[in-house]
Amino acid sequence: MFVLAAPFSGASRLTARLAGHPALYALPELCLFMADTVGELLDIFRLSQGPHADGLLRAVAQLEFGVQADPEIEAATQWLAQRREWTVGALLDELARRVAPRRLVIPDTETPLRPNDLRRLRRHAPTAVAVQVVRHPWTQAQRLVRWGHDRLFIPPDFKDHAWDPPLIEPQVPWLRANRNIEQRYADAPQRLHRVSDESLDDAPSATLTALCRWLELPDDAATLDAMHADEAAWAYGGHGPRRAPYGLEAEVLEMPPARERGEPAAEASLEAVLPWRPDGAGFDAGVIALARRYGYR
Amino acid sequence: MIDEVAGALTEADFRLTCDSGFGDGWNHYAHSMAWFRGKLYVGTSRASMAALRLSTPTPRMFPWPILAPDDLYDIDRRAQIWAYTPETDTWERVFRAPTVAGTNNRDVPSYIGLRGMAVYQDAGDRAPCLYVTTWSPHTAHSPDLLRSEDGLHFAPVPRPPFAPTVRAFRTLQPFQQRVHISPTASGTAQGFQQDISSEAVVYANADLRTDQWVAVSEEGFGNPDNVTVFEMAEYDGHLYGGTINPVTGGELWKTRGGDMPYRWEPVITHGAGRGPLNEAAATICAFKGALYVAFGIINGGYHRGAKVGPAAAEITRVWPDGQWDLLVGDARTTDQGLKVPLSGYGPGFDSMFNGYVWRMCVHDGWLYAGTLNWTNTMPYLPIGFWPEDVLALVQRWGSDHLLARYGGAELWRTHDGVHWEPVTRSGFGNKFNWGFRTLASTPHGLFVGSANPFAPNVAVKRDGRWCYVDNPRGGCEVWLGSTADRVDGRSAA
Repeated sequence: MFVLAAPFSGASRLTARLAGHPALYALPELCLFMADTVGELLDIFRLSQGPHADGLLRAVAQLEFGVQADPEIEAATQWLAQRREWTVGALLDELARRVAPRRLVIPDTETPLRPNDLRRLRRHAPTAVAVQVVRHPWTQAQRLVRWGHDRLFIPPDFKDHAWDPPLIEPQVPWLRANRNIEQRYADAPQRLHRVSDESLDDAPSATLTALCRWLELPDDAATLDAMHADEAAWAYGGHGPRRAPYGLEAEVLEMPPARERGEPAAEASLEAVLPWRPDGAGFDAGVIALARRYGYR
Repeated sequence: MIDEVAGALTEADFRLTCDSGFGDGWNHYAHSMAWFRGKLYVGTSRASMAALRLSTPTPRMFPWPILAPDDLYDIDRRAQIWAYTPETDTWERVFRAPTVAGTNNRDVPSYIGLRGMAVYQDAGDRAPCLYVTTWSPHTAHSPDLLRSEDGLHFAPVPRPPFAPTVRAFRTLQPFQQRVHISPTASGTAQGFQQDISSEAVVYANADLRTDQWVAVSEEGFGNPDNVTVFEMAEYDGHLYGGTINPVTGGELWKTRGGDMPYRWEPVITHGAGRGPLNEAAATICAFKGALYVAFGIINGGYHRGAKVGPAAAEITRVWPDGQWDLLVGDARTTDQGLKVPLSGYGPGFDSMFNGYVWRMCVHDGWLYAGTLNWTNTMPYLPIGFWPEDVLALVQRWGSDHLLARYGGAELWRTHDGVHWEPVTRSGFGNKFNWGFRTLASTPHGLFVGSANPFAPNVAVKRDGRWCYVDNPRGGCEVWLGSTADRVDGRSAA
């Protein structure tokens, strides 16, 4: 099962909840579908300016070597290098075998940005289902802008290039990811379940119950209690070791929890003037239309 | 390959039909291509890299990638046409440009390049003929439109009333029983520009036996910043023209035709919201109900004379109502709202080296796009002056690794405009193929002609010193891609 979302839309947060379900095993972001083979993936990781490899290294270290520490991260690096010829699908199968009979849950905010990567996901994980997490574009934008405020490197995918220099514009990944997810699953709507991030705050039990039922998993009270447990209980819930510290979205690892952010949902509005834009513009019409379909106002 | 889809050509489906510039390395560009009477015709441009040294401003490369005589006219630059017969797998030279008495008191070639071909039956033609657009040096006459009935004999038809500074035209677009052309290059004794013309006008002629050429557009479609009408295409009952505009960005205009001169209306302006980084509509192609327009910057992605770039190419597609999609490129707000790249690829298919998409072509239900890629000029460029972040990127990749794996033109394909996959990212394994300039869909497969100006020799560094050595992989190449010969059991649909 994949938890697909635009960046800063709550994929890591929902995955942390699912990690508490006894029938599931939740991993960090693996960024598997940038390539077809493990070798190509390792090449991309090597060239990447971001910590794209961290989640996979942490997962392999934990599942193959029993602990996430720097020596095991090195062992995971070697383990992957020895499997360069594997397809990413074969790697996924191996990880699934390790956690069986529990089912894998993998958050992913990279794959939705690119149609080819989503197509790879469907090809290499043909039986997987997906949960699309959506968040009000205002809230998503606030968090992305805050995260990007003092960053030296912001992916060009997150920018409006009509400006010189390009302007950080959260609508770009929001629109790209959500549109791509919808289009990729248009031929298999029964394989896609949509969850709003806000519902995890407003009606957490009902949201998780509905999700469990869609997944045909137990949803008894004890199970739901486990899903509400402290994220620290999740093996990947915090930073990893020095050699692979990341693997989850920055809003989980680096930003304060929602209740401390001072971003009440009531502020979120599709009619708002966007403070990160010098031109005083509001949300794009395409973003507004899609957000309204998701129930946002 | 992400998904196996019938008819999709892969790199393994291509074979080389000719190399080394048809045996003459000075045939640098396979510059035009057409399927005519059961044969493939390829027109060449000669000694392009040698001439580039005389362009204005001169590209900053040291050493110059090839060793050429100081006097350009010491090179035989008579452009050639070659014909390929698939049944015998043989090439034959069917035309070589004549020489004329030049204004420099020497014999000079009538044509140094043949930049466009089209098969068309004009009012006076008994059958479809092969028409060829030409590039003439400034010491010769104005460029001609050549006509051939049989693929063996070529003769000029009456030419448009070009100003003496017009040196070439490339696109030839039939529309409503008229032929349309537009000047593309200019030159004088002070230098030349291979893409920007001294006129930005579309000419039409309904009977090529006559000199009744009529300017059917205003200069620059009324915008003085449109310095050239670079490409044309017919789509949805309209004639489309794309411009070079180094000031505000390339534009796309369309007309319903009819009485001359035509009424034109803008479809895309301001480089589709990217400004001069989308300086030129470099190639235009109709595919599955939309018009695909690839934008780029002339001179390989860096127009130094106008201080535009460097930047990589974008691909858009236009619908009949004027709405357009960004397929490959940078997300941005536009006058049509927020556009995000539907393919997920940034400019140049995520490669800053793909300066432009040079040619697009539909074959067997797929759209193919060939790029110009300047990776292999890196050894000659003053990269010490590059921005630090770009240098860091190159160092991270490793220049040797870049050259070995991506040091050549790229060919991409799509069946829906959204999902693009590479056919080759290394010039079919030859880093000297810096561009795929020509594509032609034929009953025998997809032909791909390269621009490969690293011949007949190339500068290499040995023991820390530059020297020139013969280059057997220099000179244009023509590749043929077909699923017919697959032996691995895959569908040949």
